[in-house]
Amino acid sequence: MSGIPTLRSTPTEAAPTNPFLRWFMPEVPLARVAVFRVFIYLFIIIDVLTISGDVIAHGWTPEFYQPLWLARFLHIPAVSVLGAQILLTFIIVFSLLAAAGILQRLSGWAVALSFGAWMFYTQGYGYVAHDHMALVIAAFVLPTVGTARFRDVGTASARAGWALRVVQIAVVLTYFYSVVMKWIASGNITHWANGAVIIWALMRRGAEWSKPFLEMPGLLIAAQWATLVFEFLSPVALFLKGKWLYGAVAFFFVFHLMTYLALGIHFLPTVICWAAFLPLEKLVPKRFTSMGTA
Amino acid sequence: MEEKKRRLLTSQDPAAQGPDPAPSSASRTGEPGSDKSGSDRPGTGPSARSKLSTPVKPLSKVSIGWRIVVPAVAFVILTCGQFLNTNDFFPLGSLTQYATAKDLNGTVNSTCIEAQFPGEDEPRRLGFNAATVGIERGDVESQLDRVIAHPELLQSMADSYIRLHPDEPKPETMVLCRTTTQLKNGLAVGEPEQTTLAKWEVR
Repeated sequence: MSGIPTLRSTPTEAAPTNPFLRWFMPEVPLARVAVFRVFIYLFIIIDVLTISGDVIAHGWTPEFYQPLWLARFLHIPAVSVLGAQILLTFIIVFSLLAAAGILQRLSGWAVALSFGAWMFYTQGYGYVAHDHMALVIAAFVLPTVGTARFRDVGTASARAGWALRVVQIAVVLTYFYSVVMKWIASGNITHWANGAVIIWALMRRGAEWSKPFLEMPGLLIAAQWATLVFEFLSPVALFLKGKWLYGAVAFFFVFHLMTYLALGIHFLPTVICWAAFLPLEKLVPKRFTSMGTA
Repeated sequence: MEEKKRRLLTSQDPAAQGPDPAPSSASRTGEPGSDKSGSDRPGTGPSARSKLSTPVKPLSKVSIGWRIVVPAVAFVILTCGQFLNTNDFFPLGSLTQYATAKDLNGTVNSTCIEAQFPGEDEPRRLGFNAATVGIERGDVESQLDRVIAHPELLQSMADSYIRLHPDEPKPETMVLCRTTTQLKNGLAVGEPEQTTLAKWEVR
């Protein structure tokens, strides 16, 4: 008996025979990945131009470079302004190609590697933000799917299902492990929940309209407890279906909208990856699909 | 064999075959969008397989194997990153943002950067961000001890400011400062106090 369960080989698709594999590598329409890919690659362009756009400025401050482990292992030096501009151009060009579905595997890997390098240069100067975890993972798993087109609404793929599932897991772990970290860093999770973290954040970077909440510490403590609860429960999203799943995704969207309006913390790189939970192939107009053209 | 012969004779793409006798796993696993009618599901209706569809090869044992092993290793690294409390394994480091508990009767510190310009009486507060001084506040706060021990690092911020603001006067002194607000039961008490952490005469 083979240690690794195999996929049943049929002329049309491979169906996992093991319940875990059926969950971990579900067959989903390739078109879902084609649409998700557009979301991710276009967002990467926005990201490198805005959210992680500090890399070019980091070219002026090489003394602050604190390379992360992989950057040290690969001997990646501090970025120069010219180097950052070349890298930026590279990312934008290949992201556009990948989003357009041109040379999909090649352009996808080119984005993954160049965006990975860009991440070393935005996160390697002291502060490491954890909102990019799922996005970086998405950039690396998408090229493994291979060719996926909008017309592939009727073509199921376990490769596509695996890539999306990995992104989904990365998304929920971003929340779940942040609870674990709060527990570890605080010693006692109630210290965090009953403490002044939101007060601290509002004082440091809160919007003017949110300043009155500083007069209501009880409300902010309640918000901390609520945050803990839904971050802890976030893995449940992996098993939700239909309206419950849509509701969960909408809930996290609203949560991040609120933190953005109040604190300027948008978490958009993670927010965009919530799209991996959705049946994105439904966005493809019928006339572009296999079924529409058959 | 018979199936292969038939495909060769009809020149049919493997992805353009007839209906799969087994139900799609998308419907079995309750994937979003799997609540469609049978003919609308992948591989369940004759019309669902046009020649325009991308052919899908079954996953080999090797393909399945690395798709299990690589995420498992990543999961272990991510988990270790939490318990070792290190960001060094980015993107699989610890998720430390806002993870530290804050005392309702403690203080709220915020690091600031100021510059003394020629002809001005007081140092002026600058935006502590990459667009102004080439680096974000969070980056400097993450290596604050190092910056205080080596105030010459402020020269780099002054140089960035000059390059990023070529039409502005050149700063004479850079001041790394901190504002501290005292809390009592979660409410701010009094005005924030400012202290100087490091000073550097710009060369």
